[in-house]
Amino acid sequence: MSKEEATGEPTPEAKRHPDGELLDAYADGERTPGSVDRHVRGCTACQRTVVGLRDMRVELARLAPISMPPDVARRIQDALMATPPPAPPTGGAGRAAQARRGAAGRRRRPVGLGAAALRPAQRDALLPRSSRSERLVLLAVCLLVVVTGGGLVVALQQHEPATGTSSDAAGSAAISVRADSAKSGPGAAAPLAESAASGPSGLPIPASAAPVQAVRVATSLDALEPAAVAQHARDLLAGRVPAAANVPLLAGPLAPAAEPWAGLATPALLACYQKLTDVARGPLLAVDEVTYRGRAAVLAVLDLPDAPNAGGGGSTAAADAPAPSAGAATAGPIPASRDLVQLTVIDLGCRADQLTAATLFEEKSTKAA
Amino acid sequence: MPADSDELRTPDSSAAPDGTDASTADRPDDPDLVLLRRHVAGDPAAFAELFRANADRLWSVAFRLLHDAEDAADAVQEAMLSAHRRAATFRGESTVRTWLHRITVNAALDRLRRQAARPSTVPMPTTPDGAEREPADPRDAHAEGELRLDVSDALARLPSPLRAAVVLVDIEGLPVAQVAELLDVPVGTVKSRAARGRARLAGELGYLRPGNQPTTPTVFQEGGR
Repeated sequence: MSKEEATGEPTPEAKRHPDGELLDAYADGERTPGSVDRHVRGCTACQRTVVGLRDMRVELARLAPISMPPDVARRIQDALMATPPPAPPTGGAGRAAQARRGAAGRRRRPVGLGAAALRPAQRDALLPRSSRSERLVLLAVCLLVVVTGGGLVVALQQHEPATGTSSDAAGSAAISVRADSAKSGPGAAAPLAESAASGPSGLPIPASAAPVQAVRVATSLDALEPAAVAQHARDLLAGRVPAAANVPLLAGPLAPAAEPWAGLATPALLACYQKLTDVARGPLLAVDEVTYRGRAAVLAVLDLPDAPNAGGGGSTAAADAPAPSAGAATAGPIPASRDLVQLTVIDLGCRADQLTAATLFEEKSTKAA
Repeated sequence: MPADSDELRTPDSSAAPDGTDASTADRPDDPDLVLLRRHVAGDPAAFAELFRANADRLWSVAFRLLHDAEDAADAVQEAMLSAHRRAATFRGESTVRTWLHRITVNAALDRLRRQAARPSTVPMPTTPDGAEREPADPRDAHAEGELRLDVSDALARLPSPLRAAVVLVDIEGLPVAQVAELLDVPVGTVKSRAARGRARLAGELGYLRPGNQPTTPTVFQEGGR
């Protein structure tokens, strides 16, 4: 391009365009020689360039953060969990810290190639023993699912051998179930939610009142610390958390305005739950409104795909790992002591596009010891 | 380059501009600092929480510098493991967030240099989710009548020295002097690279109208160095 073309109508100051970096500095308001200003004032082409460069800066400065992909976040988190704790500070404080680490360190799990996997023995060590009755309750739920049948499914569907679905496919199964539930009409969901919410609370899972895909929803507002999350989740699953209801949370339209758990069914939170289930490839079992280290939060319990063989280490929720072999579907119900769940605490103000940042705590555990 | 010995002040840092240590005492409520202290004291969940709270910001800078999801993930992981290990050495001269940011930038720049040293092994740019993609060609865009390319595509097309300057100065908002330190080049070089990168982006994104770019070809068309 010739200078004449670029400048339009040359003025005496426009004999030569300013150096590009000078023009950029001028656009940024930096101090530049007076000749630059005089040139720009008389050169429409340079004026447009200055405006364009300013707009470019504004556009770049306004770029929003990019959400870290969940599989990357999980991978890094697993690597962090596999890393030994930092060297203790010297002196008495260091010894105290070491002692605390010893107590807390029981929750730290070794992570190898199967990053997210826990061997059964390790998993058992993570959680206190649960009562026999708790296991029976879980089994009873599974049986009820089989009996009710007819397309009525609960989130614990992966325990139902009659469906023929691999437990590894629980995530996709749950999604198809959601579609079925939606077809059956929103009217089916609301009455259920009502009856469940108004029913007795704090009792073992009232599965008979929840014949469709139900998520256990509670608003305990309990204050949780990391070490207490697993026990609280087991209490939640076992119906020991007061005011828990069974709600088809992800099944379709809800009208929860008057429900005590309405705050857990906002569109933003539902989208977060959905994303969690997509990543975990397993259905949502329960949510509870809690406080986590003083922040209003939601504990979400998700069922993870399991490999029923006792070999251990085969179960993984690593997002980048392929699902365990299809042969995993051959066994019957998985004992709760080996049935993996993911415990995720998210901020109450979670948005799906910022799920990683809104995740306050995450670990894998089992439904029972 | 040392990964995390120095702490960087960004515009969001609350450290005193004169370099005095004003931070720790002035930020008793910094939730990141609380988490880091818990981590140093042995809380096994604290660092993971700290990581999650900062993940998107760290990912953004790593991905924008490297434009490869695998490299960016490696850089952030390396940075987080380094910070995890050296948490007790954090001196509180900046916010924890700034400290993590700097460690991540250094890790990403190390990888960027390695990419540059092995041009034949530079991977195909990827989307943040890791899918390979060919950066859009502005000529194609013009041919299709599109007014603008995506900023990310245009950034991916910049030579890495220009991209690093633009990302750190314009997107991350770091002072030019600190970018010069990070990149180990003179301040003038940072300004020059940022200006050239900016001009290229502006041209490709349509901010400079046809017939009006570049007004100063001898400067803005020098190339990538």
